Amino acid sequence: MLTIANRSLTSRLFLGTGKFSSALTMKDTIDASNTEMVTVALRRVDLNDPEDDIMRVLDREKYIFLPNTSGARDSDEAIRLARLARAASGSRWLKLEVTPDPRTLLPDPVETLIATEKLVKEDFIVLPYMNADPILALRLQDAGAAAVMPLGSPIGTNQGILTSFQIEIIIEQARVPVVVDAGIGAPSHAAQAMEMGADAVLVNTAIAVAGDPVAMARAFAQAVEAGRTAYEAGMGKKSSQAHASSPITGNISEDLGFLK
Amino acid sequence: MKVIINGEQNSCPPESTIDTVIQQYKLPELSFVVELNGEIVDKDTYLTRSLKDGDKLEIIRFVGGG
Repeated sequence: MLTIANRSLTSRLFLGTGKFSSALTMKDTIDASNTEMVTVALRRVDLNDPEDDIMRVLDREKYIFLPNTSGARDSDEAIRLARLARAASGSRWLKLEVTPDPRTLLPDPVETLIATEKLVKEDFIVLPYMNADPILALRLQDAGAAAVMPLGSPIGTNQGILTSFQIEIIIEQARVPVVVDAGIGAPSHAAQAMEMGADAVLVNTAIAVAGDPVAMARAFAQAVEAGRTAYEAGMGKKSSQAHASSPITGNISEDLGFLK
Repeated sequence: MKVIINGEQNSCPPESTIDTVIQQYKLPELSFVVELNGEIVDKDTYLTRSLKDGDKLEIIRFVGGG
C-alpha cells in the first residue's frame, strides 16, 4: 500500500489526462487503468465554447485530483496557478511543474525549490516534478514536499528511464515516496522503474497517444504491478561471471565429460 | 465599459458585476475560478462584485494535462 500525505493508494500507476482524442476515451482509459491519482492542468475558459469541460467526465469520488502548474515559467507563475487550482477544486493536492524552456520542458530546479517552500507554508500537498537530481530531491524533502517526482526522460519523449543511476540514488535516500514521472514510453519502462524501487509512476503520453489507449492503460497497470511485485520479491543480483542453472555434477557418463 | 477577459478586450454594460459576465457568456456551472486584477474572487461574491472600466478578468478552468 502506497501512502502519500496520509492518503493510502492501492494503485501505483498515476495518470495524466492530456493529449486524449476525446473526453470519453480519456474516461474509459482512466477506468481501465484503475488509477487513483489523476493530473489535470489549468487554462483559460474558451469563451467561444464554454461547455468544453473535462470535469464532466472526471469522477472525483474515484481518484485524487492532482492539478498541475504546467505553463509556469517561474515560481511566481506556479504559485499563482496553484492558488487558482485550489480555489477551483477545493483540493490542496498539487503537482508543481515549473518549465521555462519549451524545447526541453525540463523543470527549473531553483524555481521549483522556491515554490515548494512557499506552497508548503500555504498548506498545499506539494508533489514537485524535478530533474533526477539526488541533492535537489533531498532539498525538496527538507522543504516539505509530500513526494518527489523525478523524470525518466523529457515530457512526451517516450524515451524511458535515461536517468536510472540518479533515480536509484534518489530512491535509496528518500524519506518520502518517489514517483517517476515523464518520459515513460512503454510498460517495460514502468516495470523497470518499479523494479528499481520507485513507489509509483506517472504516465500520460504513452497511454493517451497509443493506438488503443484503453488497452495500453491495462498493459501499464499490469507492468506496474509486475515491477512492484518483483521488487518486493527480492530480485537476483547481476553478475558478469556465468553460473550454471543446471547441476554441474551427476552427469550421465564419463564419455560425456564435455557435459561437465 | 471595456474590460479585458482572458486577454481580450470586451465590452460590457456599465454597473456590470462578475455575474453579469458569467451570464453574458453563458458560462455553465463548472469548476471555473475567476481572477480579477490578479486576485482570486470568492464565488459567493460574483453577484455583488462590480467591474470598472479597464479591469482584467481571468476565467480559468481545468483541462486535460500531464
